Amino acid sequence: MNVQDRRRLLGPGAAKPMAFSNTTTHVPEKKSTDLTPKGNESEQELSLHTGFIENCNGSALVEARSLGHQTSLISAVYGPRSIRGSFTSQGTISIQLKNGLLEKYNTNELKEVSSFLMGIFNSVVNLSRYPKSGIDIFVYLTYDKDLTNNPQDDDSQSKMTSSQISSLIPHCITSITLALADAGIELVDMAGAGEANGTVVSFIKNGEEIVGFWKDDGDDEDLLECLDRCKEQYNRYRDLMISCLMNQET
Amino acid sequence: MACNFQFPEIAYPGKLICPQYGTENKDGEDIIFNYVPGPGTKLIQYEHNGRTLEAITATLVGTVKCEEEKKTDQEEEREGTDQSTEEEKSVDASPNDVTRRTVKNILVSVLPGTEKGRKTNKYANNDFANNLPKEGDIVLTRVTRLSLQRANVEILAVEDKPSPIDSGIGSNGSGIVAAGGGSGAATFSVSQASSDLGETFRGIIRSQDVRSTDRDRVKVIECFKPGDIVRAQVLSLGDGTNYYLTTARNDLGVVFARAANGAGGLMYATDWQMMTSPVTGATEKRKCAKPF
Repeated sequence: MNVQDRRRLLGPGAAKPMAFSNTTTHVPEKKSTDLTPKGNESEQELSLHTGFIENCNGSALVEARSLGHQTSLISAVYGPRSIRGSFTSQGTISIQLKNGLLEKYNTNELKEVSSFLMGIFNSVVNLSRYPKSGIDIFVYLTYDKDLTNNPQDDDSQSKMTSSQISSLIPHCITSITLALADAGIELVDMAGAGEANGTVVSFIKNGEEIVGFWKDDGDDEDLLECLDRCKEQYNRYRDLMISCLMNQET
Repeated sequence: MACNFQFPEIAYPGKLICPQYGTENKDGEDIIFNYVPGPGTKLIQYEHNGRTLEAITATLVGTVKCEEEKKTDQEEEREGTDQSTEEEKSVDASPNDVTRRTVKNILVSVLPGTEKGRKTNKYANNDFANNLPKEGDIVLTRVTRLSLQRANVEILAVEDKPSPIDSGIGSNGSGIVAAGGGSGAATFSVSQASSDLGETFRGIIRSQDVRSTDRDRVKVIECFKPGDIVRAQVLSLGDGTNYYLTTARNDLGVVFARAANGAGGLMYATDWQMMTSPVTGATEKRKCAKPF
């Protein structure tokens, strides 16, 4: 079984892989952890509404308010509509994000987020029930603002922006899931997500399956911790979504 | 309900409703419940303690409904006479302690909305969301364009599959149905998609599919006119743009038409290929659906 690869220059038989000692240069600690302190997360208030837009099939409003921050966004679902062009045995989903905020995110970023969301909902919506049709989802970011007006230097401002787009994603997922459920479109499960440290993880099946993973920046060694925090948030959002849908039912 | 499983009353997407199978032993007889996922549900695999399990899961918000799938008379007869059918099998080889085994198929479905909130609990939602045209469905269409080979139509509504005993369509199996659906017209759901925006599902009725007799001599212009409302059946999902439809049945064809290319009043079918305007008495040719 000792097949030698003669195309490569191999080292002597007793060679060991090189190992480097840990770098001693000091890597500046990132402050992104401080931007979303754990205390704030637990005190975050979430309010959910569905079915308030008349001319679409389903809609949802998500408002999140924590001590120093307030976010609200609206999702609307249109369809299933007929598509033109070649035959598709499954439905297709398109998601568009529209920024109603004070010019914070460039279109590239929003497109990235919407394609990320599309990836999630392609695996969550029961697409095989919708041949030859398309489902259009529009997300409108209405409000995202720090309530505290402490002066910040430019550097931390830019950090805020980069961490905020990831902090919006879980709310986008919550609102789209609610809007789809409101539209009566078949979903395999209620998708939800949590955000920790610029990392967004989206779950289904009670946190047993991951349907989406987004990472902006931040440290990579605490990935498992991020995962746990995301799952915690997901469970909270999911319970809220279900109670919202059930309240509406009764 | 003749099953032992405790179903949840209200479901939401991702809610586990029941396992794929259930068993019960009653009077020395094994009853196996085979739960079949119906509309609004899906059979989904779950990992539990390292094992893969399948469970019927809700995909809609609504009330859970389960009903036994009735066997046809033929099957029941066979079951009565023959002990070794698929439905009933002796489990043990020894004839003394024969355990009889019955398989019950139970259709589990989730209907959107609550029992109270729904006007008629037998119909699906009032839009295309859970009601896309499928093969074999009856649809109401409007003629948009004619050519020598085909009529192009847009699909306005799909006749819902489940229909109650007392309401016309399908009550006697695949029997004859009044044009326009008779009293079953309530089961027609009008699409929310506005036809003005070109958002509707489109269909094609090929000249061969207009009627079942003399089909190679069909003149499309003598069967339909633009604007006619046509009741048709879906033959296939067709290509990307069009569903393929047929009117080759007595109860399918034009149900509403205006005289003089839409300028006159409504006409009534006088026979299977003639419509008359009661005001002017003028007649026009159409492929009419059987009016009564």
